[in-house]
Amino acid sequence: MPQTAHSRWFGVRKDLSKGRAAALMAASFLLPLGAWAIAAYGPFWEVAYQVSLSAESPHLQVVHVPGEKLTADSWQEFVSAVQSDNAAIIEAQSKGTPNESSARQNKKVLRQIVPAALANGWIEKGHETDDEAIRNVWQQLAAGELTSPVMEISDDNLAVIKSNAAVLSAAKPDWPTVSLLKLLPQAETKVSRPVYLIPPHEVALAGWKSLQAVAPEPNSDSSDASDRKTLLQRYGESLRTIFLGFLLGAMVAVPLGILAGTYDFFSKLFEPFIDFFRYMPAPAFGVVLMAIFGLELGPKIMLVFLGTFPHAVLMVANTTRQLEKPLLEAAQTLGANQRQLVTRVVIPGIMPNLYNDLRILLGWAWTWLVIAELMGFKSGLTEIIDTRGRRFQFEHVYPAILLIGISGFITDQILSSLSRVFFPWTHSSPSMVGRFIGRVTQAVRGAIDAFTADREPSLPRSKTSKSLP
Amino acid sequence: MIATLSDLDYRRQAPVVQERFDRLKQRPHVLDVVGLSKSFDAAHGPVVALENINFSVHRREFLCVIGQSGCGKSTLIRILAGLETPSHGQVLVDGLPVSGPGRDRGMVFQGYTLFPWLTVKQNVMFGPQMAGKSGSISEGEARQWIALVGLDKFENNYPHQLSGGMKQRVAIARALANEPRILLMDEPFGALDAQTRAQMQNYLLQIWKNIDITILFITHDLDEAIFLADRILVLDARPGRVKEVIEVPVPRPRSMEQFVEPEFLATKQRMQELIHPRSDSTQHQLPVLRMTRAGDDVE
Repeated sequence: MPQTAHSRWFGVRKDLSKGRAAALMAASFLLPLGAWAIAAYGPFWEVAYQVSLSAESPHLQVVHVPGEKLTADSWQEFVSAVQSDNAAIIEAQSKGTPNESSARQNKKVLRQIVPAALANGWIEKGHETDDEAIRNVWQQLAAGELTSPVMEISDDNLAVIKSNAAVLSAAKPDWPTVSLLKLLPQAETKVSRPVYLIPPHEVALAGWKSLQAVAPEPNSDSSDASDRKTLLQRYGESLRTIFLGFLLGAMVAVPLGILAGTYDFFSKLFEPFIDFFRYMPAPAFGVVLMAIFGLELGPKIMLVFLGTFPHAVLMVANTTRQLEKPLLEAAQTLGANQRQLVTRVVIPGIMPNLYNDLRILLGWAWTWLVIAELMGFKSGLTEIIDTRGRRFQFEHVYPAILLIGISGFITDQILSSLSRVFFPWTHSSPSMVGRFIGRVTQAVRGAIDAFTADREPSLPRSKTSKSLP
Repeated sequence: MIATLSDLDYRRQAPVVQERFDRLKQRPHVLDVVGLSKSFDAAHGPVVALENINFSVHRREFLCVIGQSGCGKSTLIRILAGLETPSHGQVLVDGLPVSGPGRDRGMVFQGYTLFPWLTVKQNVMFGPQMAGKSGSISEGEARQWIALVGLDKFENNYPHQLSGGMKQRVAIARALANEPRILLMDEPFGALDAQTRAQMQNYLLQIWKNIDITILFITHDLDEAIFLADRILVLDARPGRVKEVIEVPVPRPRSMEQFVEPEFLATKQRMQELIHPRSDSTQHQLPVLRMTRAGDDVE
């Protein structure tokens, strides 16, 4: 058997080649995205017809209003019913005995155009019952004077419009007493997915639009609080909550943790209670926090704090305890006193691990964000998630959720790569950025050395007989 | 060779060596260990690690402490460094009793205890800075000590960029930068490979020659002890007691060639008798279980 060690995908604790690793890392994101796309675009969902232009017919049991969704069968039934109505009118006309009709009925027929007229801006909002204006629209359409930027009128319907316009002009200024042709129903085809399953492109589109919005969204029900601020403004609110909560947690937890990890006194004094306290879920204190800190930003920050702080103290204490004891002993034999042991050995020694702890702490802060923002007056991205979700507008919910995820993930990745810059001594091969910064600091130090050497030409030499081995 | 070996007494010293010991013994004591005992509380009652240890180290003497593993060598040196307290007895440096770690006793540990976040230079500056010396003074001193151990080119490197031998040289420089009265070394070359180890032993003797320092060196390597030491303190195990103090009859300057000289071999044989008295007894023999017939001519 030839050796094919390099081509194995599965080897216990064996690293894959760089190319394969990169491919798998890409797949790690593409697979879930693919699953989402298959679920959304796959042939699992019925196609529905959402009525945009409706018509009434005596042959139908029900009246279909614009916006209603119909199955393929009932749509077909609807269209053929209206077609047969029109056929009857045309037949009567050709026989020379046109069907009689009242002005009221004909006005009703003309009003069929209203949804398209509103969408295309042919009539103003509030003029839906202005029959003269509507009649004017029909005439203009027949003359080809109007464009339809939003809702197209089908060719069949344009024929109907022209035919009716001729009848209307003939009767002018009175309303005709013969039956007008009905507009054929028009509909947009929609895939009827479950309400929560929004296809990726719609989420991306909705997210992109919300991100670009500089002014609050002019929505029909703008009385609602969730429409008064843009996505980015809400994102800013969320970032502020997270950051302040994290900062407060870190500022309290780091000193306590270092104390507990350094001195057994503080370890025994703090840790047992904190260990107990962390098992009480932070949201359970929500009502207490609101009673103390009000309904605005205060309780939200405090919730993030309560959720992260107990874990952080224990984690930092543990990190501090993991500093190798021989380092402390070495420092003692070098003459370090108790205070110097803490400031010159413990604190610098645990820095890289402490930095990682804080990264994890920030990750926790993100998980507490949603619960925090639901407290009191809802705020931030959570408000979008909550209110839009209640209205089943999931295409606005997912961008907000994704924004939280992406922010947390990217922040962590950046902090992780910065770790190499801050702590060059923990990595055998410094990263590109680390090498660059190292070179810069060395150059600066060199310049300072050269400068000070000029001013103090001779360094004090106290030893007498020291030579190279 | 073997015949001459048994003839030669390890206590017989050439005139040069004898003169040297006479001069050495006239020098004042830097370290005195008086009636030192140490016992630990274990689950099955107290364990005596050290029992009534007495010895002295003269100024600029190189003393090695040797013994089986578990004989309390490390406990002894940790008590000397002040990292542990004795149950009885005391340790005197220049006649004054010590309590706790101090700048007068530098220590080099078996593991690498350089501060990983400091460069070589900053590591060596650590002691002087703890003593309150200013940055520029301690930096100047540190440079000299780094030069002494031959690492001037690496003064701005971090410990993780150095080899094991270089790390221990920095550790020696760091301990010496405090200008201690005595340098305590706890199997400092134990983790190094054989070649680096031999090199480090050479370096250490050169450093010792160059400066006024007394060295107490713990090892379990007989060759190392004989190569380095003026006198060798042989510890007995369980409880740790001083079994014998050997005056090494090998003249200085020392070199690798001396490893086969009769004085060297006689001393080594004596130490083997002291440390492994029953090494040939049957309890160290494995049972004979032949599981192969291939290559029956291996012995």
